[in-house]
Amino acid sequence: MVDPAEAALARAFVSGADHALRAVYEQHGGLVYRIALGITRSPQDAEDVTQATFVSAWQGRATFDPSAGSLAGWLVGIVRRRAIDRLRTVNREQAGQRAAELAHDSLTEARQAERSDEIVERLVVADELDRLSEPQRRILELAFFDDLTHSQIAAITGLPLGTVKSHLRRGLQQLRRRWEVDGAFAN
Amino acid sequence: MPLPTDPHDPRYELDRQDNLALMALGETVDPGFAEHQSSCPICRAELAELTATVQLARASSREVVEATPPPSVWQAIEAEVAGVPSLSRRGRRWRAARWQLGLIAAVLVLSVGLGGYLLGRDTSPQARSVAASAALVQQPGGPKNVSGSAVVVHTTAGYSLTVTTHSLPYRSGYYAVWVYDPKINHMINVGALDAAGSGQFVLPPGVDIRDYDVVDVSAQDFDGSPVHKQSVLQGPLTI
Repeated sequence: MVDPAEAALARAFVSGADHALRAVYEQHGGLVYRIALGITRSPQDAEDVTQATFVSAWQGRATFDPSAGSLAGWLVGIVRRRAIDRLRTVNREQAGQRAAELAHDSLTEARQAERSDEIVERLVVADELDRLSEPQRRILELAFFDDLTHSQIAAITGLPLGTVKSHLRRGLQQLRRRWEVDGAFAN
Repeated sequence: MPLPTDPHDPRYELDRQDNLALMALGETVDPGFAEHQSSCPICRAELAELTATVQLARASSREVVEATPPPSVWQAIEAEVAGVPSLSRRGRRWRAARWQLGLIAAVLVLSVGLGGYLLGRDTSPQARSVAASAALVQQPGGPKNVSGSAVVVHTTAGYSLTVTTHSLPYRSGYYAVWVYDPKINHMINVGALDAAGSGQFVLPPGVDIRDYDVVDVSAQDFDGSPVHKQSVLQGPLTI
């Protein structure tokens, strides 16, 4: 199930190969940044969190276990934690030292974690959609965002009905797998 | 299409999955299948997961989905892992430091000038997936103790080739990057390495890396000749 090129990249990353960090950043930097941006809602914080995520992933690369999951999933876990930490720090700074604010802290933090999980899940699915090859991606986008039925998609694209159906099935299953592998957190 | 008596019959498995995918997308399917689905725990669980996937996909707002980090983020990562004195990631000190990094980068870009512009490094398209990679090794007749690597990623703009090299000696000419099809002995020049010995290139549309599966770096002279001269690094792409 793991893409062989992705597995080769993970091995190169763990072994500390020179080009690996750059290649991993090119592969997953966008997703990491978007998760940080979604959670912190600040481009400045998202940039800092993205930097911290890749630096700590590189420094801790020996702790990544390819048999336990994908490199993307591992990075997603790191950026999620760091972005939530950043958000908490910012919120505490804004709340100042007021005890009343702090009393609500744990409740707020639970809500934040929930909201963050939702953002991560959405962005992981969107990332996978973006990686699908054509015409599968276009077909799914027509179904998702233009709300077209498979017969309407067949009419627009000129593809046989059966082809459209099987692209919808395989594309959707691919998104579900990626969501389960990289986006679902057991908290 | 007549409904099979048992949707779980292996012969109809793909029909069953097609129907579940269509239902998850909100389409109306054969009433017989819909009825089966509502009373079958396996189909219900699968539909619930697919429906959740569709909801997640539809919930994404385009502006967040398309956001990309500015180039300064990679520069800061590279600087930090290279052991440049640790920059505090918060506060004014860091912002000032990053501003200085940006200025250094801007000066570098200006000094590379037109060459850098032609390489199109500032328009680097968004990466999709790693298609292939290669370790580049020194070649007979070229300088010793040099090495490099190449990564091909599939991007919105086509195949993008990133080449990184180490210890290539400074010379009066330049280093060119090629992709090579050994079967028909054709080479395509995709550009020149920058002063730091690396570069990112978009492969011409239609070039198939399963055919052009060797990456080559050559030493070229400023003599107006576009012909491939001395190979200094080469390696086969692993797809």
